[in-house]
Amino acid sequence: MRFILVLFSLLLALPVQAMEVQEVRSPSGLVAWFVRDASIPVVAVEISIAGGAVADPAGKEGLAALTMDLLTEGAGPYDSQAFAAKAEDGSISLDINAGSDFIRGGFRAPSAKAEEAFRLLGLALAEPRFAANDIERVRQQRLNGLSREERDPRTLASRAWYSAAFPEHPYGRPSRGTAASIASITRDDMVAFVKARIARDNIKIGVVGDIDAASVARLLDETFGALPAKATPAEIKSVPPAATGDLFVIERPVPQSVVLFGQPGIARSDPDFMAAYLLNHIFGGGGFGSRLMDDIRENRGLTYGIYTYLSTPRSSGTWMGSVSADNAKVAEVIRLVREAWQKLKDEGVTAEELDNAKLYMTGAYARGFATSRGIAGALVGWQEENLGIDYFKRRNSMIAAITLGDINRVAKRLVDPGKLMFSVVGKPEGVTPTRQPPAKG
Amino acid sequence: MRTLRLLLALAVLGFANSVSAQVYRPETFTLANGLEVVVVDNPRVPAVAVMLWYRIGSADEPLGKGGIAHFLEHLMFKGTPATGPGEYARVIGREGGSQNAMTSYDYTGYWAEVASDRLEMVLKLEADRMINLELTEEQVLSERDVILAERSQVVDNRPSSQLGEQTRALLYQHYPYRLPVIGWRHEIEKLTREDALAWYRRYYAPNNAILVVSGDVDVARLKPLAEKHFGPIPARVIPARWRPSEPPQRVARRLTMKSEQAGTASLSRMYQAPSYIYGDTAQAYALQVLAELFGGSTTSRLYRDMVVDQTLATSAGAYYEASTIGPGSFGFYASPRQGKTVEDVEAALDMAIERLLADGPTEDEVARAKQRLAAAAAFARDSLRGPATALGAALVIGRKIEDVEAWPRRIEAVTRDAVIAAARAVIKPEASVTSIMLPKPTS
Repeated sequence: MRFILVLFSLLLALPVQAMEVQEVRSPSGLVAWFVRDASIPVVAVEISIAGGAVADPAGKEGLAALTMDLLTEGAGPYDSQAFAAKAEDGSISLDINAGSDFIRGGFRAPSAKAEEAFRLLGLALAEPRFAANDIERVRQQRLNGLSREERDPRTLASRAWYSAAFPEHPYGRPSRGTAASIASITRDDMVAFVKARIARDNIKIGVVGDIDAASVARLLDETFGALPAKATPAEIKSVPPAATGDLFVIERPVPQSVVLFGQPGIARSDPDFMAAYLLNHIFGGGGFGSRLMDDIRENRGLTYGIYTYLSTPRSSGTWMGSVSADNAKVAEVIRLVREAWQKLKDEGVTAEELDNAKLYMTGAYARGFATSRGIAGALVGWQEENLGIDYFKRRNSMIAAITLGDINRVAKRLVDPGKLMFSVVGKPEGVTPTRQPPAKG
Repeated sequence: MRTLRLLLALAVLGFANSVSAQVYRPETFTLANGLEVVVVDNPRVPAVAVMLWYRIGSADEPLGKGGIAHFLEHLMFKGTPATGPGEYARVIGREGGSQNAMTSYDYTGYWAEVASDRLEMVLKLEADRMINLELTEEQVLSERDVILAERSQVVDNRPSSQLGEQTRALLYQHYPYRLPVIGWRHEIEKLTREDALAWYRRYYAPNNAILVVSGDVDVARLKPLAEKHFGPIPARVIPARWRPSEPPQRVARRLTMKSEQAGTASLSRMYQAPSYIYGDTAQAYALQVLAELFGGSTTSRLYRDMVVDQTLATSAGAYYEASTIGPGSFGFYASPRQGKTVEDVEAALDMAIERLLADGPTEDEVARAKQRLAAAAAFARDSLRGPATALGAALVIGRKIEDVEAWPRRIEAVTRDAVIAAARAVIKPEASVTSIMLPKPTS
């Protein structure tokens, strides 16, 4: 039976491998990865710019996020309202957002409006207006958002965990800023940020849809050609998280405790990454059917959901998990998570678990390419990670090649219950903190 | 504000899905046992989305058994004699698929996405659990704890959800939409295995369900498979769906919640409205245009007025929910800027509403809103499950395929006068519920 299932998974993988990714080079030398898909009249574009929140100067946390919000609030000949109306009237959804390591942006547009969408994206990147009233409005929106986040147990748990794990490092700072840092950001800060980051040598581009390669090449120059040639490097030092096995509690008057937990993870470029990815899927990444979900939700009814995930920022790696449970039950949940973590280290996974995870991972891959923007995002993600233009053709065979010996070796190497750090927000009963939560960042 | 945002997102999604009707070109057939089947052939990726919609939701529950529809939705994953406990999810996962389910006031739906050569496997599993569900006492009690944890997570830990729950209890005075889909905690705690099985036996049958499959599939392939797996399941006599009507609303209602967990002040104003099925249904189209032009985007009248020009609010908008068997809802929301109060924001909202009702929108506002709504058709096929969701959600409340197909034309036919008439019919002070969230300093 297992043999038949493996055959099936190979069949599933075929259509993805039939996808054609071309490298399109513009006359001036800009490069985009491009998938032509004329099955629906849609064009999607994704761009990635290295250096997001990690490039925020100290004391100006949230600069990248605020600046990116402003890019689509008026550019070139259009004020904020006119810019938004241009996009809306063309049914163009256009956005630019700052992540931690990367700025991501792009659009989805009807193919009849693709030229207009490229033009608006180009204006937003090259000629943002940063009008005083727009800055103030977006600043107020951000401050309002921060007020909400500062009361949100999930955000609190996350900020505290990262602050404790990355002291003195950009990953430990609040990427969306604080009330004080947001208040201190000026127009000059934003102009300088854009000048330093948004440049031709610092931009990765993915294009998908009902458009031809020659048009893409031309539009690359029209859209990005006016950008400065070189960005300022935004390198940060690589550090592992300072996860210590501690547990801290932030008291809040809520009936359910929100828990974020994590330990050091693995770099995306590590040769063991794929094995770690499968390991996480089996343990807590796969939702229903994962070990943690089966035990803590399905068998014991202690939570609505429990998940783990590998987080692979450029300069570190963490293996994270999250769960919520009623205050009276959360101590038991934490104990069960620790036990499951220890068992994973001691015993690894079974051949059946590995086979099932491989079947899921290889079989599900094609469905990730069901939307245009999803494909464009993947094209850019492969460039960010230097995975190569043929990565998607190799990816499933890389997974298929992982043996039980590989994954259990990686389990021994990676799983480290002694470094599993818990950040708990709520009024947990029977939970003993081993340290204070980090001072508010 | 999370609840409002979600509602808004759902409303927008509804529009986008519906507009694309002309592009879906669905085909339909019905089995002898009454199972309706809808097929959208969209072979963009070699995968299918399979959705099974049951015409039963929380608004059909008997008083005292609140949450039983949602409870059963969870329990449908507990297995049959052929499929062990939890096996459904495991089998779909092993085949590279995803699956989940959802319960609403008017329906319960199950979906799976798999490679198209796995279509039969999903149909077999769905047909099996339509008739052969097995539940042990232990499974039921454990899953009830999961649902109580779900309620803690999505309602009790979130002041905005609590306020939303209380608001609906005032917006609907008689109609069961006043009750939460998940149920009140004290009733969930008393739901039993017998309650769940009684619900299952009464309502889970082919003649009370709609199967929608979209993706790499056509009728020629689906029909024999549907016949093979669902055909042998006998129809049942399904109790007719009975729903009350709302009495006239005579007094404006207000409620204010102060919470340590709320970070910012916010204002919501809701009104009962016609839906696609309830009341003056022709107005459903004019109300969509109204919500779009008045508060559907950052160039809408309300956002421009309150957020951009008067700089009173950080957010402001309007939304409309039409896809319900019972009364729909029309609403406004806004959140004050720092240094401004909810009173400032409410006064500005009242002025804007007053102007709208007195003068109506401009012809240009109406034309732009209609064009924007209709243009979303281009994206209809840019998703695997989208078409199945749009069609299933329409059919399960009693709309017809033709209604979905005609959506762009009906939006196009909306006139400025129709928008004014609909606005005046719905936005009446005595029919309003105003809810206010205020942050309370942490103790």
